[in-house]
Formats: sequence, C-alpha cells, structure tokens
Amino acid sequence: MKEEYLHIKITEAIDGTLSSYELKQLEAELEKYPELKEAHELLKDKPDIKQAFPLTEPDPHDLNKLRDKMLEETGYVYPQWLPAYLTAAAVVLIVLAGIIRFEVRTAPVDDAQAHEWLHESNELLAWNESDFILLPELEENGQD
Amino acid sequence: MEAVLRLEETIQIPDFSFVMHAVNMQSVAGSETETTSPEKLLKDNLEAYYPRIYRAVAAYTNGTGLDPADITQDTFLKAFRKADTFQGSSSVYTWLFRIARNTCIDAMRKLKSVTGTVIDSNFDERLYEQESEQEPFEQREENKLLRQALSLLDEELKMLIILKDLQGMKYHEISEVMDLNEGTVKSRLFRARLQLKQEMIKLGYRP
Repeated sequence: MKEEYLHIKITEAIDGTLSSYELKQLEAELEKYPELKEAHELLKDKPDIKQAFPLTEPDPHDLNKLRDKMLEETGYVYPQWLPAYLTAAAVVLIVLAGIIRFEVRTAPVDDAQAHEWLHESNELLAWNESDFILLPELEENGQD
Repeated sequence: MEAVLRLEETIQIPDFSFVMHAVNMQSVAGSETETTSPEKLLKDNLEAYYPRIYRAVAAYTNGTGLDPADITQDTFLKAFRKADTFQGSSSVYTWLFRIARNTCIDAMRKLKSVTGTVIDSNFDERLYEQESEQEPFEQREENKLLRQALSLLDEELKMLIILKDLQGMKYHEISEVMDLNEGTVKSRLFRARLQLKQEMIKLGYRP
C-alpha cells in the first residue's frame, strides 16, 4: 500500500507536479526503500520519446484518400433518427386514412340527394324488367 | 464565423496546444460550440489531428509490421461514423484517441489470430530512417533503442507511455482514454517508465 503510494509520488516528481517541500518529503521517505530510491534516480534521466517518434507531415495522398472515404460515407449513411421518423410518419398516415374512411361512410345524406338516388335506382329496375320480358320473344324467334 | 476563425488560429499554434482546441472552442465560441458538429470538426481539422494520431499509432504498433497509415485511416473513419456518440464531456482529441486505441487493439488481435504472435518487423524502422539521417549517431542509436524497448512493453504500459510522454496528455485525460482512475494511471506510469528504462539498458543503453 505504502509502495503504491510512493509509485504515485515518484511519477508526480518525475512529471514536475510536486512542490519542493513535497519533493524533500518524498526523498526522505525513499531512504527507507532503497529499491524505490534507485528507481527514482533511474527515472530522473528520462529518454526523449518525442525524438524517437517525430511528428511528421501527413502524406497528402493518405489525407485525400481519407477525405474521399469520408465523402463516400456521407453519401450513403443516413441519420440515425430517420427510421424512427419514417415509422412515425407511416403510423400517422394509416390513422388519418382510417379516420377519413370512417367519416365518409357515416356522413349524413340530405333529402334531395336521397330522392335522386331513389329515382336512379327505380329507372335501373324498370330497364332490367323490360329486358327480362324480351327474353322469351327472342327464344320463340330462334335467336340466341 | 468568428468561432471558426478563432479555431483556425488555435490550430496554428504548434505542438500540444492545439490538442485542447475543442475546449478552447467552448471557452472562445460559447454557445456556437453546440452548432459545430463533430463531423465538421473532424473534416475541418483533419490536417491538425492526423499527424498526432498517426504518430501515436506508429509508436503503439511499432515492431509489429502493421501499417500505421491504415490504422490511422480506420480510426478517422470510425470516428466519422460514430460522430453522434461524441458526448462533448471530453475533448474531441481524447475521444479520438480512445477510438485510435481500440482500433490498434483490434488490429493487434487480428494480427495475432493470423500469425499466432505479433511479429518483430524491420519494416517500422524504415519509417524513421529519413528523419534520423540529420541526427548525430548517438541520438539515432538511442532513438532506435527506445523504439525497440517500447515495443517490448505490455500493451497497457506502452499506451500509458505514449499518452503521457509522447502525446503530453494530462492524468485525467489519460484516465478517460484508458478507463482507469488517476491514481492507477500514476502508479502504472511508474511501472511503465521503469520497465522501459530497464528494457533499454538490457538492449545496451547506458544512462
């Protein structure tokens, strides 16, 4: 537990986040832990990793390739909310269609309209009856 | 518009300062940050993000033979696809680095499943030949030893060194990327640095 704490303090010391008072305290504490004291001394000489992995200008070819791929993605990928919106729109349309049909069926009919419909249906009936009467005459004349 | 201009100014600043550009955006542009989508940030700042992510990926995959350019491309494409998952609680850079780390881990796993082990490749050294030509011989040798020693570390320890000593991230940012608490980050960083130094000494480094 104590060693874990000292590991943390050594890291802070190496990164320069300890005050000079804290640093003296740490060094005094490390006297009791020779291995950790040795490690601390070793870590004071920190190799420069930034030199080993220098920051380089990106290859324009790589950047253009990436931009092209991003553009392709934009063309094909639809926003995540779209399916939910389309489903909601479909549900609203179905409900609206149901309401409209129901209203048309139950709509009241005025007297004039009803009279006209009755007249039309009577005419149709009369026409059918006269056709029916003609049928036996056709059979008698031998016509199909 | 002003926000975009100030963002560009932020990116011009060399080295680490650009990393916190998203945070700067928040403090400089205020409410305009909300209207800047992560996709737009990625597209507009590709030149600024790319080299840093590439460098970190190259350091992480060094010695494996994996092409850091491919992994960097994958990282950005994944980030672009997952842009709507960016919460804004961390900087874009921290978020981007988290994706890069996962992409590297996936690539290493795939490589191990194909070859049975991560191969030691000289391909990676060729990446640094041109840069090191101008450096003195001793420095070149030290850089080479450092790269070799880093490739021998455990994945987690290697990543800690990259995030802290190469990328210059703060402890709380590292804890976000690695899903560790700050205390654990510091104590493991101690082990990582010590192990790196010991590996370098084994390879012939004289402090």
